Amino acid sequence: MTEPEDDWPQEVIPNSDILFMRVHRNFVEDGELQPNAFRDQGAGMSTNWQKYCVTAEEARRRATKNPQNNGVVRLGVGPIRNIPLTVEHTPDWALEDRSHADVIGQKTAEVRMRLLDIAEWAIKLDDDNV
Amino acid sequence: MSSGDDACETCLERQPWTSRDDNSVSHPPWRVRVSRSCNWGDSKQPRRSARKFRAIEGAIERSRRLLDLTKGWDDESAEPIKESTWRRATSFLRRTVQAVFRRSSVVLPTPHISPCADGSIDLLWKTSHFRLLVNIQPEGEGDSDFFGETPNGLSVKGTFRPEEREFGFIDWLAT
Repeated sequence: MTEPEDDWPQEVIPNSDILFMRVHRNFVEDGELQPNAFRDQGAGMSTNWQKYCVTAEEARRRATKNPQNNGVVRLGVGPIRNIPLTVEHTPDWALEDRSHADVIGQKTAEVRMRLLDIAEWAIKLDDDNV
Repeated sequence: MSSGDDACETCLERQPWTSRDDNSVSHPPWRVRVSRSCNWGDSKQPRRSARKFRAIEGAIERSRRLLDLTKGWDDESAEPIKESTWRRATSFLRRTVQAVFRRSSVVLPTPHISPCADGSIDLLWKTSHFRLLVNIQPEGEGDSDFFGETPNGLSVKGTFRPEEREFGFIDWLAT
């Protein structure tokens, strides 16, 4: 029998690629993304690799609760690595999420400000009726 | 300017007055009544100067909403904000504002006061002159840290204990 790990091997994510990250409305003030949006959950900061999560809307739908409470930002892999942080493809077999990727490294005040600098809205909460 | 009959004329917070006989304080020639529990009370400046900080005090008051956040407030696993952490952050903010004012007569702009998923609190200043992020951790849970920079490339960062650090030095960021 084929193991899921065989179907979804861990891949190297190129610097030119894009990650999506959901941002809950409680991390947005006056429509503006705040640095508290960048935090670790487990091994790192959870994101979705665009290669297997093609649209920002798809990333938003992957929220386990209340997707409508989330906006989505896009982050370039190269700029993340320049901060410097590590980007690892970490497929989540339990949640059947091949796109899952972790951004690993301490989220100090400086790092979070750098992440704020490179994040761009893909789905802004203001655009929705949330 | 009227601060209201039941408001402290220094911090302008509405709070119970203590009686003039034993607890209320008068400061000639300003004749400003100050509640004994006034949070601005340790200022070395004339107490009236605290009126300049009304916007910040208003932001602190509004930030009490952070205490209403329950476990999972981000629809995931975010920790609630403890009152002790909120007091730690707001006390630090008041002391910082006072220290900068003492050093340079600059009144810092009002920061964003935001909850973090780990139960800590962010204070974020963003202006055209500088930006500064200070993260205040719950007592006993790791280092608090900060990062600030100006558009011309000056920057400052480090870890600290909010109770021990005098942040007046950041006046160079704001001026």
